[in-house]
Amino acid sequence: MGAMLTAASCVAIARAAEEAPSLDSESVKSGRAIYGQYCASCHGANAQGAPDWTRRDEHGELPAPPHNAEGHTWRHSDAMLYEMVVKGWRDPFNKTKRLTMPAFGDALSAEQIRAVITYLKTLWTPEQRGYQSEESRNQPFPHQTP
Amino acid sequence: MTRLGPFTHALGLAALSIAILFGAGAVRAAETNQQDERLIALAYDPGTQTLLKADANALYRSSDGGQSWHRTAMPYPEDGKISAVAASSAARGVIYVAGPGLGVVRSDDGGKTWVERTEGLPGRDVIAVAAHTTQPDTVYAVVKEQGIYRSQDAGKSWRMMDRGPRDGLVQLIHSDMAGSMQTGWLFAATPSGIRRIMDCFCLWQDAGGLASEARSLTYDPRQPEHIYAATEKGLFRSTDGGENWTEMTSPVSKAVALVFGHSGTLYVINADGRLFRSADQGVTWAAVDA
Repeated sequence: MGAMLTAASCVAIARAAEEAPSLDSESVKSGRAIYGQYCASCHGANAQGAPDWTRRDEHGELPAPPHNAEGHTWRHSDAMLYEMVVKGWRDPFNKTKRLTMPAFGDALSAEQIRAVITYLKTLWTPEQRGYQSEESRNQPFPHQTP
Repeated sequence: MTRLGPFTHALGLAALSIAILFGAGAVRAAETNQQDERLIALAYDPGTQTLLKADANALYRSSDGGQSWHRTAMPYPEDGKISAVAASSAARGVIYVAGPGLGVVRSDDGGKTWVERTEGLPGRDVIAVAAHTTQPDTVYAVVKEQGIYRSQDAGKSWRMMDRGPRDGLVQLIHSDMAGSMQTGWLFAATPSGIRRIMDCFCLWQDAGGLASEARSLTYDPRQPEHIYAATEKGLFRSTDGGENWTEMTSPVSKAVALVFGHSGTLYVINADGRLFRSADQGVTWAAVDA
């Protein structure tokens, strides 16, 4: 028992991924530009995340995670990612009151949010994209604008 | 006579060896039986208001708060052992039992009938099982040396989700505590304390500085941020989702399992089956006659 489950707990989807839907190239291009303008300062120019992102910083906050294959963004459905961008999100165990992830609902349009999430999908493995696509099947992007 | 002497001596030695071997075997068998009879798990089925307890060989049900117990007939533990029991708070009468060699079995009628739910898992050596708090068909199984698997169809199919905490785990529970990116949280009792993760499996984190081997944990369904742990050092309570822990008064020296039952009653049990209940979140305890 003690020897079990010792490997790092990052990527663990073993089942063969279903073929993920192709991504709209225009959306990817637009999303990359939006990412550079709004997201890269925290999540890194290459979506590599902040240094030591798995440990709380001196303020008791979790640093910005990677959005690439090393992170966990791919574990969330389109609907969940969209909502997080619009409303932001606060880790309940943060030692400060501020949002861990700021809200961008006032800064970005629905189309821009969908585009930036589409861009992030280009950073994941086929298995991760397959998983995320399945998670999104019942939780797709909302049709409403934020 | 002198020629028969060595033969007799050898025969005597052989007989003695056989007796020792059989004797040792009997001692080992007795120890194994004793080990198998030690209580290992508690669970509560809120739909039927039934308290459940298990040793390695059997599951027992009580509908009177642990005062009387009835052994539940299960068709599957023939070559397996029970290590975990979970009842669903989202589906009345749904119980999961799991263990090494047993895999996962499910009952949807409070334990009257059972269906094997191991197909799709990489093996039968299941260490822990946890029912989702609000989704009736979602269940998690921890497979030895493999990781944590999730089923969203009541165990008919499984998907590997995560390798699990770095130092392993002995119990896993799902909680609907607020603040998750997904639908809730998973808490694990591990050899180095309590660890938690959102049920999207984003990032395992230590739940506070409870640096003691944890054997079991539960949470108060009425106040999900209130978590209780049975550890090598005693019973502990957290009122902030596992960030800070306070040692509690323990009615037993070595609690092996604890669970919340009807109307916020907290139960704790030791390996010998001594059961205690508390109506005030563990401030005071009363023995349950059984």
